[in-house]
Amino acid sequence: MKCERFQVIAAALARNEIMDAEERARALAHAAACERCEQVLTLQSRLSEGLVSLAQETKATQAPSAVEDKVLAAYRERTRVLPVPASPLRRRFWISAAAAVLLLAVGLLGWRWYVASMSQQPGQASSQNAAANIGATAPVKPPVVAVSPSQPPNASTPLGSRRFQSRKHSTTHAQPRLDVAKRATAQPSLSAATQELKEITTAFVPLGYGSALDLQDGGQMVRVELPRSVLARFGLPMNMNRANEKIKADVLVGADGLARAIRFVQPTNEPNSGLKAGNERN
Amino acid sequence: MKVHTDVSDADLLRSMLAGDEDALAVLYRRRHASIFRFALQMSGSPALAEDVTQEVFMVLLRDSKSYDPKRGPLNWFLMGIARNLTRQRLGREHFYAPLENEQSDRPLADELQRSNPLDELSRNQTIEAIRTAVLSLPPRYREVVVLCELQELSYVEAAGILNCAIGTVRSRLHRARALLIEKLRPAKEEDAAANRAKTARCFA
Repeated sequence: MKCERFQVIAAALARNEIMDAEERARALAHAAACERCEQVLTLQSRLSEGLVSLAQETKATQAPSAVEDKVLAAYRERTRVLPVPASPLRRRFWISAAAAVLLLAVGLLGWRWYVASMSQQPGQASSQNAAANIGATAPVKPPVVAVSPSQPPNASTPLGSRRFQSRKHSTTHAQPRLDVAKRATAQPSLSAATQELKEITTAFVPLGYGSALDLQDGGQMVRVELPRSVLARFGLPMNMNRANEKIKADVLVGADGLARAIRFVQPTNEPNSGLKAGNERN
Repeated sequence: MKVHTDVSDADLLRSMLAGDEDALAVLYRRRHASIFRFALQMSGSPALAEDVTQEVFMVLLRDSKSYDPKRGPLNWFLMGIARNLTRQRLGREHFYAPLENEQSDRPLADELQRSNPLDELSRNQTIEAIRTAVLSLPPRYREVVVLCELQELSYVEAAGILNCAIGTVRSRLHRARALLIEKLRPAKEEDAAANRAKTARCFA
């Protein structure tokens, strides 16, 4: 083995690295024969021993525990869950949800109230439904608030508590229709003559800007007597000779107490029933 | 604390990312010593070694997704971070080994003046002389000495940490050892050896 080759593998020899056994033997033989290479091997071995000593001396060296504390504190800081501020979107969502729940609760209460009121007045349900069908030809049982002397005593029965759950309204007519309603009274004590009382009614005429749809919240139909001159206000023909007389009318009053619609009523047994035809003069 | 003794570094990392502080504690205790020693042996400064150790784990907390298990174990990744941070700090703060300093060199040079310096140096003196010599090496040689000689890692591990070929590690270590022997050789011997090299060649 030449010295150049020995110089290359001298460090591996000193570090006891795994190497070819034959080459190792030749290298050791060369070192035994060459003083310079033997000195190189000695220096390499001493260096390895010194490095091993240095490694052993520092083997137990560790970082201070404060470093671990800092690392763990930093980890806790990074993984700490911060409260997320409520965004406007989230706030709107909760407001909408609360409003929806409130509407649902109000609707439920209204429905229960409706069911309760229907169960309290089972006999009147059919007539209420019929009365709610405003503008259609329907037999009604009009309450009388202002009693005229010509009316029979039984007709003055107060029926003002009648309520309506309006469904369809045809009160948007420009010209009120004239319908003939045959009314059978619900009072069993009435005579046959009064039971066969017939009325001629106009269609309901809306009053003011309120819609008849407002009656969905409930309402009352009240029979009143008005001066006959009121007919002219609603564009209906009026017989001026009877202007000082009174005419009956049904007024739909909403739950808020405001009048929503009106129709004029005239019994057919009355003479000169001016409502029979729209063009006739009352 | 949960038992994490048999868990691999990669699993500890996953647990740590899932919020398990104990996993980080186990990982730290398992790996911090080699990182600290590497930085200390590279710089000779305990303060720098502390900073580097802490920063390595901070980087792991911040940028753990940059670790690719296909490129090697987590230890290589951590030591690679330590190596980069140490070299940055050394370049910025100029932690020099005082071997070229005349005052600091004097006791070591006096010892090395003797015929067989490694024999006559006491153990502590020998360790200190070698430590100083290692610190005086250029960084690329110093790091292979630290990894292969002081940390007792294999060439493969050192190559993985340094991100270079195994042959590069081997050649750098060979050169580093030669430099260390030169640094530990007394001046008179250096002159004599130089003269002998000029006049005689050994052929066996």
